[in-house]
Amino acid sequence: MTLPFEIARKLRQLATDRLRPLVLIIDRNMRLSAWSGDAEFYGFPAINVGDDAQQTFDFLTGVDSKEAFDLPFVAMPNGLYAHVDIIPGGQYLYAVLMDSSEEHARQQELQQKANELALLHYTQTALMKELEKAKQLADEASEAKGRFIASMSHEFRVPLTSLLGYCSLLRERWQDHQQDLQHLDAIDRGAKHLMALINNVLDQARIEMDETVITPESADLLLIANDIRSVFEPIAAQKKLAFKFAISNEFARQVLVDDTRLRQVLINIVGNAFKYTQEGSVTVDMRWHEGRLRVVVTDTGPGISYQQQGHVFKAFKRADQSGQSGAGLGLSISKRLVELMGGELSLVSEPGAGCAFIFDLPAPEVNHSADEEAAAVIVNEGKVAGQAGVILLAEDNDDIVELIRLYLSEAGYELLVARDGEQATQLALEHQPDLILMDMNMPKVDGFTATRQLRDSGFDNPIVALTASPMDSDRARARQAGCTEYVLKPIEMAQLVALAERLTTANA
Amino acid sequence: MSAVLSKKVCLIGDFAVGKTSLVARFIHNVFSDKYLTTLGVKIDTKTVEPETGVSLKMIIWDIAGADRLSTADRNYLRGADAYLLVVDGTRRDTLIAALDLKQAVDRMLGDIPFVLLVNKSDLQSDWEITTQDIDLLKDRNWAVLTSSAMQGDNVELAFTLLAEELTKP
Ligand SMILES: Nc1nc2c(ncn2[C@@H]2O[C@H](COP(=O)(O)OP(=O)(O)O)[C@@H](O)[C@H]2O)c(=O)[nH]1
Ligand SMILES: [Mg+2]
Repeated sequence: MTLPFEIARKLRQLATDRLRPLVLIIDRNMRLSAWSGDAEFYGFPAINVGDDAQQTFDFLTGVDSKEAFDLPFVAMPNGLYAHVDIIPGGQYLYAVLMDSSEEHARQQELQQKANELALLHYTQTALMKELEKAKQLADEASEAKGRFIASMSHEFRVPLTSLLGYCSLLRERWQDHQQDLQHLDAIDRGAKHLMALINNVLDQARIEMDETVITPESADLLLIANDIRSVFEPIAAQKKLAFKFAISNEFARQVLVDDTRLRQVLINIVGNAFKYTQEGSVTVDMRWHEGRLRVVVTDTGPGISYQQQGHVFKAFKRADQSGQSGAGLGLSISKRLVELMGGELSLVSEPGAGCAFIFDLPAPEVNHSADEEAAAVIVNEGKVAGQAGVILLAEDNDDIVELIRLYLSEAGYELLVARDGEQATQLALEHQPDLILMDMNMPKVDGFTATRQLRDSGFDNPIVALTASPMDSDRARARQAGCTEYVLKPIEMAQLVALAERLTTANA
Repeated sequence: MSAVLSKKVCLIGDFAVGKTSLVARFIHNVFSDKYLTTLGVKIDTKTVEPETGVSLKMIIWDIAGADRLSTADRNYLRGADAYLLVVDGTRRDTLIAALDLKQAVDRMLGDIPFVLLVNKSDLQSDWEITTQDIDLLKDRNWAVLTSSAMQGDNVELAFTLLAEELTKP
């Protein structure tokens, strides 16, 4: 239907008010031939019939009159925005302008937000990449530091191994020389102290590198307790301190725990108590109950203020600068180790009232078989050289070779010695020894390669990796290469003999 | 009125690469570090007298930036005689976008003069686009300049190069 005149007029009025249409009629020569609407509204105050349309209306540059199209948002001279429709119509070209300022403002705001967000995202991603890179560099640096410390400690442990070994050898030989024995003890203590410090540095490096350091095995809890007691008794006597050592009535003997790590924690904590206590007593109270070990170490030393308590477990920090020796690592490592063993270490103290270090960790009981017990007994008498078996020792350090030779031949073994991995492979294939003790770090061909070569050539007697490197990765490498067991230097000679006996009898 | 030669020059490139800022520097010799997204088109004119001796009225269309051409963009580009293809040196993406855009423009308008501007040379230490990238672009026989709308480097030159190209006898 046709709209009534009044309505049509109303609508036209509305459209005119809202859209402010300006219709330009342009001839073939691109001259303005007529217009309708308010040109001034868009910022064209002085237009005349006959004007060059493209000069006046710059949005018409490049327009040919072949097809209709529209330009949604064109900025006008006065800053308004117009929707421009270009419509060719026979003789003329029509341009229709309508106010789109409001719509422009609305869409501009949305687009602005979207673009800003995209830019932000871009910057963020770039920053993340930078961060990743920086983190990677830092990780690499920290790993390099760890490796450096590990290899440095390795270097230290090798000479210490022979130092400690010869000390115990001489102690056996010098039973009757009281004076010499005292000197020897001094050397022994110094070497053990040095070894403990190196072990702490090394552990700190390993903890920083996230190497897992805990290997729970069946361990004799009572033996550990007695060893700790005998380590500190002479120190207590020397410092004139009372040393009370209590073990609960209920006390499992064989428990599943990392023997070395438990000893290390005990030595660190009890050692710390002795270090800082000048008079009074140090008390160690060990209790085992329902698969857990609880240890309380109390001293009558100066105590630690509440503020300082937070610091004592941090690496390279000590509660005071009292000039005491030590790298300040013992407590921080002990805490980490106790946590890694599944327990907790805490401190209760007050200045002037001494300290109590308390830790608690899982130590489930193991029922050991009669076999194991039998194997643990070391028969060490009446051995004739070579009777117990042939052992090939691949080791490039002469002092350690001699030390091991002494102990193993005393236990009745014949010892073949190789100085490098190449020689080791050759000798092993030629003599088929009952056991190979293989140093992993040797010249020419290293222990890993030699072991792999031997396994590939069908050698299947036990091969024990001897190494000063406690890195888990090296342990895994040794296993992969085909090593039966892995022994960390410094090697306790009695332990080495026991190991040889276990592996050679199991093999026979 | 004497008939001055006038040509339509468009700015093409991803958003926020500095198209609006380049025009502002060229026409009004100003710069603002505030980012105001262009929506639609803003047309400015400037008459230049290049070496060729012919004066030219450049009708400069500053178009909203995107990494591809919409229908509206195509309409804005109708009848363009030349263009500045703008890239932000600090965002490698914008170079990729520019290469895509150029292909679309070539298809639509054919082989018309253009200058590729790698903008924001004042931030060169943060650039993701390398001199090697730029050399590769120059190897295609393209007119490539590094520019800074902020400091004005090479802005005038870019427009002048286009003007010379457009007024060649
Ligand atoms: N540092 C620097 N910033 C620039 C330069 N050119 C533009 N900008 C900034 O980049 C942002 C986007 O610029 P604009 O001209 O709006 O980009 P368009 O979207 O391509 O028109 C704004 O914040 C500008 O201030 C330049 O040469 N150097
Ligand atoms: Mg813009």
